[in-house]
Amino acid sequence: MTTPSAYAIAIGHSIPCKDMQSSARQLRDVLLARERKNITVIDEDHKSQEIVLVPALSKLLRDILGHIEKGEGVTFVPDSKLLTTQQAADILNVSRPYLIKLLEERVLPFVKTGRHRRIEAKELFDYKRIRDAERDKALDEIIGIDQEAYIV
Amino acid sequence: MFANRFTAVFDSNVLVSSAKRELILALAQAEMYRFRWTHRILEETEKALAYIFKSQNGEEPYRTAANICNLLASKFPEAMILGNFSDAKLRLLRNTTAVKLPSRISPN
Repeated sequence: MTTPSAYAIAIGHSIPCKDMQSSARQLRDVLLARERKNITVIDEDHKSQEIVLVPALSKLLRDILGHIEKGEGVTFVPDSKLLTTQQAADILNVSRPYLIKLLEERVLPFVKTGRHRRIEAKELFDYKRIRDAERDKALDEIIGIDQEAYIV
Repeated sequence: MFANRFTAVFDSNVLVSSAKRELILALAQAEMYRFRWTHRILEETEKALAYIFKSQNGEEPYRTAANICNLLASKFPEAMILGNFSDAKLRLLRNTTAVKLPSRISPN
């Protein structure tokens, strides 16, 4: 069980600067070229150390670096973190009242910390993934109907 | 974080055109804004689509139009403005946009 104080926090709080973007690009190129191989890091005393990067970790790092490269800020949300209703609404791109409706209709599970309702990050991202996949499918379906019916 | 994104009302004139509809919904999927419509807007869209399909001798124009609007309503439930006065309020909004500019803005 997560403790009541375990709210999601934004890491970084800033938009990457140009230097950060270019070093992110460099690092990502290295990781991409060395996928499934070990990486050797040389420190200032010219001592080298071998690092074993498993593919999953390499992919995660490359994803993060990819965002930084494009100048996008990144927020980490561990699966177990509890989100406030406002944070959850922002992530779903809906208003807070609409999110509360989802909680009350039991569409989204929540936990109570004292008087406040909190949503587990993993539950929220699972819901978002399914919802967005359904929407993409519906939009494709509509395009299909349009193409059969008429073209404007 | 990124609360208070732009919110726009999509009226039936943009929803009827397939190209415009696809564009605005794709941008909404990319989370560039939030959008709203009402039961009446979707009803109007459905009627207009059925009329167009029928005039082009499409098969089952009414059912095709209903399919599109039902998909919109069911897959984007948060877009529906609810409440008795939702449409009345929107009409008011539409009218206010047509109001003449106040005279003090003019050079004289």
